Amino acid sequence: MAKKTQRPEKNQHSISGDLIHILVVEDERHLADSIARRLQEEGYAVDVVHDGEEGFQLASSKKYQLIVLDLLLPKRDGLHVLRELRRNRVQSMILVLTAKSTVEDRVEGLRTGADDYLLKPFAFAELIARVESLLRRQGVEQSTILRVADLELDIETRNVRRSSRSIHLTAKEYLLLELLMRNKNRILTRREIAEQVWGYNFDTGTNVVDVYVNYLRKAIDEGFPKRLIHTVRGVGFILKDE
Amino acid sequence: MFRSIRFRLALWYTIVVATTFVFVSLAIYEYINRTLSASLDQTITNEVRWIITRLEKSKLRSESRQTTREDIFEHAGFFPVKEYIEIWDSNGTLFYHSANLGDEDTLAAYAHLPLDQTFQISTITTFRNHDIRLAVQKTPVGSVFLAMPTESITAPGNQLLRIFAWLGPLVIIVAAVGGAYLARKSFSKINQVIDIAQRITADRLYDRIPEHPTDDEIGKIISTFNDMISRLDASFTQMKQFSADASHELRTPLTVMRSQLETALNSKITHLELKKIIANCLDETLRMSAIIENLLLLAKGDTGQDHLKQEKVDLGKLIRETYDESVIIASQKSITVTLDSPPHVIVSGDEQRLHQMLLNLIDNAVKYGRDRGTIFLRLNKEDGMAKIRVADDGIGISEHDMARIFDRFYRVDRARSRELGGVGLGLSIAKWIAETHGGTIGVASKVDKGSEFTVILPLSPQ
Repeated sequence: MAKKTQRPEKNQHSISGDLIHILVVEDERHLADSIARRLQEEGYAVDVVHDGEEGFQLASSKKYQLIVLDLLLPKRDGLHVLRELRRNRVQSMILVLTAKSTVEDRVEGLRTGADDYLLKPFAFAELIARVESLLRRQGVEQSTILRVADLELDIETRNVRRSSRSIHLTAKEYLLLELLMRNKNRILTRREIAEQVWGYNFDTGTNVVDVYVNYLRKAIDEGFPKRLIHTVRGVGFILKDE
Repeated sequence: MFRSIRFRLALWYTIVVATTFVFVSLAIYEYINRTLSASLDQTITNEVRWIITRLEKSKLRSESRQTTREDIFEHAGFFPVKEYIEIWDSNGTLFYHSANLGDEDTLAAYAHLPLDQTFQISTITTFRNHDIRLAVQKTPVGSVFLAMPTESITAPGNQLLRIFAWLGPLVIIVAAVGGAYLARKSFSKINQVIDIAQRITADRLYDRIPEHPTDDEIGKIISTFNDMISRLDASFTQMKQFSADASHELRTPLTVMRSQLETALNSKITHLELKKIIANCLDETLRMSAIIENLLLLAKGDTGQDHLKQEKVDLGKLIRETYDESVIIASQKSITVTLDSPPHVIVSGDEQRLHQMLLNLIDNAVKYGRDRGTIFLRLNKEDGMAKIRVADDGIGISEHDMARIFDRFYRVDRARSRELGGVGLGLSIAKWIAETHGGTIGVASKVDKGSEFTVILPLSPQ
């Protein structure tokens, strides 16, 4: 059974007032629930199913703007679902999740009709960024502006403003701020930041992250009554509006 | 180029042919020389004998010396080969002196017959400007000296040598060209083998050398090579598949943990949600541990690091103990386990591993058995082998899946297996254990009727 559509709480994404619907087909229940929860936080209406058969039925019968599809599914293989959906002219954007890392696997997925793929394990921020980019390709009006309190970041023009005062950032500072804003109200560990901003997948053993967070603080928090970037001692950093 | 076997082969071939040619030439030359000189000696001896016979006859008939002389002169004149004849009477006077000797020259001057001998034949090199063969025969009727030039025998040999001298370089050229051609012909195949061998890397193991039609050495090299590539290909493919599978299997729990933990770091998470997430992550950690532990076991087995004990194991006792455990495992699905009193069957091996094999098979039977079903355990001796059977009346395995059921990470239904906590290595490990004990494992199954796994192990030698 498909889970009932979960209504998003806030920040609603919509096409002329209607909610954007996303279908998540993933057999790992915990993972599926986390993905759904995160997408809902971003303001999407999300349905979740746990096998290929149900996924195919639901994707064929209901109009989704985007489908997040795992490849290894019970009852009906993800690639098979993908092929059948494309044969039936289902126009939804399809983002494939796969644990298969070889080039051949990726090429096969894209050839079969996937619009993008994401290699497991992935960071939620990346999932969200890809979802947004795919929806934009789909012609869905996506706000390109990330907003926390009076801080705004336009991911298209790369303009950063706070209280309508323009802020200049270096490339790395910008990436760091985008990451923090995409993960607002979530604690990011130093290692996560290092991996996603600098691409280091190991313990760097340096305080580069701290240094850059401080640069960023100077740029966006200095001179404003409310601080947005907070240090969580022993864990990492968080950007929140409190 | 000069260091290539091909060049050396051609060179050796040429040398051997040339040497053979020289030896054969010399042998022929020597043979002809010997034959001719023997025949010359024979001719000379015959002539000497004829003259002596003639002299004896003349003495017997008391012919006049002049008649005898004329007779000999005529005979010599008609003889086809030039001959020098000189005859001395027994009293030491010159009886006959052929005209071609001239007035001053005597043959007696060249031959010195020892006193105790009556015949001698030798080559004289000091006679005028050519060599002669000179025979001396001392008889009561007088001493006969007869010589013939050796020209007649050396000429054919020398002629032959001249022919050989011309022929020699020709033979060597033909041998060199032919040798180079043969070497190239046999090495072109080898060069092809080398070319392909150089092209073959881990990514191109599908390449094969074109098969050689004949069953010669080259053909054997090629098929040996192709066999080797095939084996490499198979083990590379297996390795690639295995590491892809292993990374895939490990990625899945990692993905779950990552997503859960990212959710946990949300500042608005409730205490209850947090506890749930921690429990989930703990589950995933346990799953990863199981995968890694099983992988390590198989990897050790693959590299031969796992030293199996070789002790006498009573399978009857072992299966009874395992039975007790299996009753507990099966009770979660209300499955009944049956075991008829097993006989004493002794095999040699590692008790701990054999126990693990049995548990894996029972675990599998419980997972794919139906609720309130039955699992049948059986042990008996058959054809001098120990035979263990683990059967269930569960969902069974399709033909298609049966071929791959012992492959690592193969699961008929991944999602279902995951729910049941399987990592897809239990049967691979059971197979590995059976095989390292010199045994086999097999499966018979019918969809919706159930499956029966059979392990056959050799008995311990008494």
